[in-house]
Amino acid sequence: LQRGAPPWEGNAFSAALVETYSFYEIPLVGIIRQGDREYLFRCLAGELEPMSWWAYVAVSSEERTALESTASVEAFDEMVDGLMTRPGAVAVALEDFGIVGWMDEDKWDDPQKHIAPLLDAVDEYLSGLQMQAATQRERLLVS
Amino acid sequence: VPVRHIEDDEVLTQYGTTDQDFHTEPRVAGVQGMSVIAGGWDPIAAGDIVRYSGALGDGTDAARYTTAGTLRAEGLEVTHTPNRRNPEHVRVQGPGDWGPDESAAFDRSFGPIQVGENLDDGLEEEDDRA
Repeated sequence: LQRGAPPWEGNAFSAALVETYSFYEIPLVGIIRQGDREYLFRCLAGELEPMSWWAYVAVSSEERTALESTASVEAFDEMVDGLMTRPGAVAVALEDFGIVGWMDEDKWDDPQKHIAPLLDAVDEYLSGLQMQAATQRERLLVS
Repeated sequence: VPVRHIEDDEVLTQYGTTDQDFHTEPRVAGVQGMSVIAGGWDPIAAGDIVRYSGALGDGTDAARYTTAGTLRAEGLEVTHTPNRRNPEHVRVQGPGDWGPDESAAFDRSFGPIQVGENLDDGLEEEDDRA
């Protein structure tokens, strides 16, 4: 993952969105390819909101084929749920910026454990912006 | 999912929340047009379609409605663009790049906002009855 990348790309330099399974204003569930590996991503929360949460896990080409062969939305969701139990990553993103921070996830046993540290990353990013605004206010308005 | 023609009299739902204004312009550079759902879905059902984990259910889910014909009369294009998790996804586009005129036309095409129920309240009422 890369700071500032769209969450449905993961990394603006080395990865690309290759399949979208769910779209509403933005891609919400899909496949990212990075090198010869593919990753399933899905939006965990914040689908319409300026701040959103995302999950990523690696999938094989066989799993992708199976995912795309599911016969119903329910079967698709069930398979995504199953794949999303393997080690991967959780990220938080801000609209107009992209991924702000992410953490590896091994067990998916307690989704809430990432919320506080990733919100800290968002706070840090926003504080940086406020500092820049204050600095530029001084420079530009004083002169 | 086969792509079909959206008839003029078909009702379309835009999902949103009471926490923010309903979106009237694309959120991402490179994405032309707005997302709506074919059919008249109540706010909770629309939230269940858009959000993988389901509608918020806290009284902030909301929806507003129009018809394909209303959007077309405003000069907008209405196209069925299904995806695996949302077979009823519809894209509303302008004849060219989306701009302020398209946003205004899109916005005035919709009727009043309906707000979804707070599902937690329902559970509490059930608890009270128990």
